[in-house]
Amino acid sequence: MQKPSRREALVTIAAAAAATQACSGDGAAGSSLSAEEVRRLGLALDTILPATDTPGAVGAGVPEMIAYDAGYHPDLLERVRKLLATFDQAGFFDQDAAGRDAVMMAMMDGDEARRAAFEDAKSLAIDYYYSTEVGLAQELGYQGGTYLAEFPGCTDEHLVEGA
Amino acid sequence: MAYEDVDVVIIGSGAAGGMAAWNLTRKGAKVLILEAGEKFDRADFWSHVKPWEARERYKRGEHPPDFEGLPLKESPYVVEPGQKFLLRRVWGVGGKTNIWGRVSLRFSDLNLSEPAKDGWEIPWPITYAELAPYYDNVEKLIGVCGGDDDSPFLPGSKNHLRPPNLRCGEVLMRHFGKKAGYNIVHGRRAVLTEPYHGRAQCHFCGACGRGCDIGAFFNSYDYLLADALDTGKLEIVQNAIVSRILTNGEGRADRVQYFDRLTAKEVQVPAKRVIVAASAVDSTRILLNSKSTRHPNGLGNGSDVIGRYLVEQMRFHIMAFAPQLVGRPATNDDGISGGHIYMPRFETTESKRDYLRGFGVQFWGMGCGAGAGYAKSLPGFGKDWKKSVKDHYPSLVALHPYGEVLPYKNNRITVDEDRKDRFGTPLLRISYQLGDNERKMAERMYDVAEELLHAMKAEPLPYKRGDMDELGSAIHEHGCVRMGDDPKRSALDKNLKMHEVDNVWVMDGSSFPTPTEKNPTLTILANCWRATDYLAAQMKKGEA
Repeated sequence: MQKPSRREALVTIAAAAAATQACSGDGAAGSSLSAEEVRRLGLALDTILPATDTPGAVGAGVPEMIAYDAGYHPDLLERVRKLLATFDQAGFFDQDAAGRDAVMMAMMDGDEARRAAFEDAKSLAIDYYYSTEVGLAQELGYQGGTYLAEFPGCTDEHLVEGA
Repeated sequence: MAYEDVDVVIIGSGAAGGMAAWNLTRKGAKVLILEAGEKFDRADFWSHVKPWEARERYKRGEHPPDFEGLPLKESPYVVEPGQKFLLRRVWGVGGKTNIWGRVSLRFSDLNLSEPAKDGWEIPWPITYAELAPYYDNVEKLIGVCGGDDDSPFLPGSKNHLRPPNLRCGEVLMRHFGKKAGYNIVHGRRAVLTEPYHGRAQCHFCGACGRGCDIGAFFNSYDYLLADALDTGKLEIVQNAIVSRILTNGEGRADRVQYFDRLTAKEVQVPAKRVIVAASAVDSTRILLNSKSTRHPNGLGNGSDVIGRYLVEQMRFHIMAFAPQLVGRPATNDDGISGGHIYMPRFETTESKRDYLRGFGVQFWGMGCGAGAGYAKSLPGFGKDWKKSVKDHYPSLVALHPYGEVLPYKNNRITVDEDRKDRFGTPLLRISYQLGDNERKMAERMYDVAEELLHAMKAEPLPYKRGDMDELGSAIHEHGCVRMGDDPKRSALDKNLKMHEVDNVWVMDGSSFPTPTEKNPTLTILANCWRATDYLAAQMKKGEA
């Protein structure tokens, strides 16, 4: 098991809230990621969350969302550039898709800096992707936040039999 | 309303202030409430805004109500260096009841009699028998859903609205809890699971923490203040940040000083009687800042009790995957938001153990939520990992044990003369630490949590035994202005009147000598109803 902080893992809505609140449009946006940086970020995030029967991170627009937020949050901008630099040093961006999988696998089990960059990219991917309609509703099947005349609860009457 | 005609000035409009105003106005008293914030507009609540919709709204520069921002801006708190304490306050009409957790558990005779039995600090001056009729009153007034269970640890009620159906994770938790020897019951929440007193029932959108767009859970404005306003005997002054209660030469309260948040103008309103109900910490701050020749240590604080014995609860959280639910289709698990089940305390005063008091377990965050933070604990990346994230989505279960923290003299709130708000009022300073009793209880809390998860063969997400959530995070501050029979060791009598000032009452959670392991709002409401019944009777007789 990898080790997120307990607070990170605690409340599933927190990730979505963090992602959505990070994108406040208050104030003036500063400089953000370049088009090339957005492309590279997309390569990293799509390796973590690829398209399957639902779109992946790029298809869900995650790199652009992060770039938007980074324009308002210099700490996020710095964070993304730092992880991109580590991915670059690992040769990630010089590879084709299969090669990127291999490099990311090596990073996941690599030295502390590369492992941290991998975990950080994964964390960003999770927080953003699973707060999008694509990630949360299409991929996971989230049905909440809506009006119900009644709450059915667990409808499996045999759930505890043999459990 | 001419302020000279006001019978009672109430500071704060949350659970205690709302109840006091409701009960006193219906008995004929003229009441003025001073509220530091403004009324939150229900139309502004983001009740059904999905995460991706929220993003677009933020980009357009829109925001939901900032429930907790005002006190941090106007009256930030200071924590003793080297310590951490998370203080969450809501300044605005209704206070924290706008977004509270709605857990409504009766304190038991066990809770109220235990300090007298184990001898730690002072006894409660009231009994369960005295409170029970008022629990009935409150439950009938506001609507509390729950089951028909009844035990010495969690007294039953005949007033409950039907409990919500259980989520699959909760069905499993009850089943395996029973197998492990633990009694897990329906939760009790102040949520309308059926139409009640002309109010619409909950529509299960799960957004209670963002304010309810139809008022289907108890909040002070909709359930108390609106009726009190209808009597014509209540006026609410908004944006009134109270600094001090001022006294006359005899040491009795005769004015309340506040600053208008919008104009910064100082106002002093005459006060025949004052009820302080600004939440445990802000009530304490106001009393400690109300120094005078007759009250050099703060209003009614000759005993040096006020500010001391701050008690909160300690809690931690463990999430796990229930294997029985992995790979199942996603479901709508919003329900009434938060847990539909509860595990009451199970240890008596006499149970053999190496700590005093006890704990209960709450369960929220079960099943399919509005995010996937748990995915960070699943190893890997790519297509297989993405499938694993989806498979685990319906399987989340979570335990949240809440343990009672003993009252300690040096866990306290003081006012910091070196740090003041923009009106020159000293800010509050918090010093709060756990002791050996809590560390011993925490071990047992972890044992029980692990036993429950083991029984259902659940796979816990990473956690570290012994870790506690940030102190203060339960948002159940009590103590500091505790009631008791001994004026040397308590600030209030059993009817919540100050021992040393005969026209000031303190009616929020600061009056509790102990926090118990339970959520306090139901008891604040019941005890406030009881105390204001007594006050109204005394006023009628000309004795208050």
